[in-house]
Amino acid sequence: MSHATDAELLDLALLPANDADGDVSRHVSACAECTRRLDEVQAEQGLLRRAFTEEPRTAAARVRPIRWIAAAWLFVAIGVGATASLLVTSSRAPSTASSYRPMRVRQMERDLDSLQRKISTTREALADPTSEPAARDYVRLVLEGEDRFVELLSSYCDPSVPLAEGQKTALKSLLDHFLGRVDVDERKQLEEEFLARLSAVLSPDQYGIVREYLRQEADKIWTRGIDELLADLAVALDLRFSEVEPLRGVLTQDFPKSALSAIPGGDPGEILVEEPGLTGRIRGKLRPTYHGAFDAYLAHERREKEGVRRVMQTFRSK
Amino acid sequence: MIAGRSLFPGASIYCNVPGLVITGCTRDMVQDIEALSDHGVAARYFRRVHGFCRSLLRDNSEADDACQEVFLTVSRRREELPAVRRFVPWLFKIALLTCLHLRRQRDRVPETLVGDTEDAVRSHPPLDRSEETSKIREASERLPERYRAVLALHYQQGLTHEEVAEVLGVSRGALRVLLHRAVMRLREEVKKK
Repeated sequence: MSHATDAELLDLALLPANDADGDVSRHVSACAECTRRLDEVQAEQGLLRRAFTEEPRTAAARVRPIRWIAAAWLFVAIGVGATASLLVTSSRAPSTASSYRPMRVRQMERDLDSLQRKISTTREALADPTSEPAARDYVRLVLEGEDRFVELLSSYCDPSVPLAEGQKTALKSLLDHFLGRVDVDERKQLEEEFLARLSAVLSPDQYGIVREYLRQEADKIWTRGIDELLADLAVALDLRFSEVEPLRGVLTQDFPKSALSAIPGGDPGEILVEEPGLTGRIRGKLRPTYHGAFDAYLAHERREKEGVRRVMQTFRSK
Repeated sequence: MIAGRSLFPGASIYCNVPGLVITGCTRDMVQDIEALSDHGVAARYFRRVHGFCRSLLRDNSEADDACQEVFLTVSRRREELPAVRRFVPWLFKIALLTCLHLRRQRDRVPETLVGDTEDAVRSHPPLDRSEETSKIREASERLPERYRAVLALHYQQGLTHEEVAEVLGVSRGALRVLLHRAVMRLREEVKKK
């Protein structure tokens, strides 16, 4: 028999031994050249497995971490809204399915996502205290986000468990109040107050669902937040991939998940700035040549956070 | 759906995936389902399904959407689960149909696996083991959808031939031909690059 073809060797590599072509199999066993080629095909199988199981590397584009304000209403909007949709779909009312408008809701979620990116971009400019247009834009975008959240929630709930007008107003007021303080007040205290106010606005059943949702979403935000923070650091410090992964270990081990337990949002970048111990451990994992850039990154984060605090305090005091 | 029991409540519920063939039941499968209710294990499945959806849809955010809908569909069909013969192929069949459904919405193409899979596939030597995996991934994205699906299920998800055949709804013989052609076409695409 002449040498096995590439196709025959591929079949040998792909098929279970008892399904392989006997003639080809016997020839390959006896032929050194074909054995070598079969080894190459089998090595290729390993290569393909690696290629398909490796995670693609993070895009080089600069990725901003989730921001408190942006994430807060986006989180509540999608989360509470979607949770409310569970109420809708779990209802046994026959009108539920036919009245549900998924495409509209999907579009609203996309709009909120887009708005979140705008806020994140605008927020960067707040590090400059003289940027009045950025401050105005920021407040406008946050308020727009609040409105869209209430609209989304109404859309989810309508018509099976519609929000009463009073609930809509109360929810808007709650958001307005809470988001105004999220960059200003101590987080734990704010969390307790937020939950108390939320339970007053929602019915007990609704509150139970939302509370459970917040717990689950905190886990997701935590994981996603670490990813985004690492991407942010990788770009800001121009890290190599192999230098990023040790930082992931530090964050996964020491990142305070409890800080994200109940309050919507929770920006890992903010927490990094607020937690000197964690910042120190991250710094310790970096080569000394990166320390200058890391300090500059933290300084920028602090200026940005201060800028948000200043803008929101000014706005709320008016 | 009961509050607090949903796997991924952050998603919209609207994707109806038709055509699931469910027969038989095993203890292992029931354990899988019980494990699925646990958030940590659900996250493990989520990662696998997400990788598969990303391979098919070629877009991370669309894969997010698809993934959420897959698990919500599983949750909605929980009462059917005791009759499912094998959980993993069942799960990936839902994932496959969900991706096709989403792609149909996006591209307005018929809801089926498309691709010139009946083409004459020329024989090519195997890829060099020093070939960069990123190039292979890029090349795989240029393949017809049916080939992408079979490669992702086999190499990425580690499903057996029998399981992949079950997901795709083809015989084992047809699956072997499909897999063979997919690898050959992938070699060709990598070499083109």
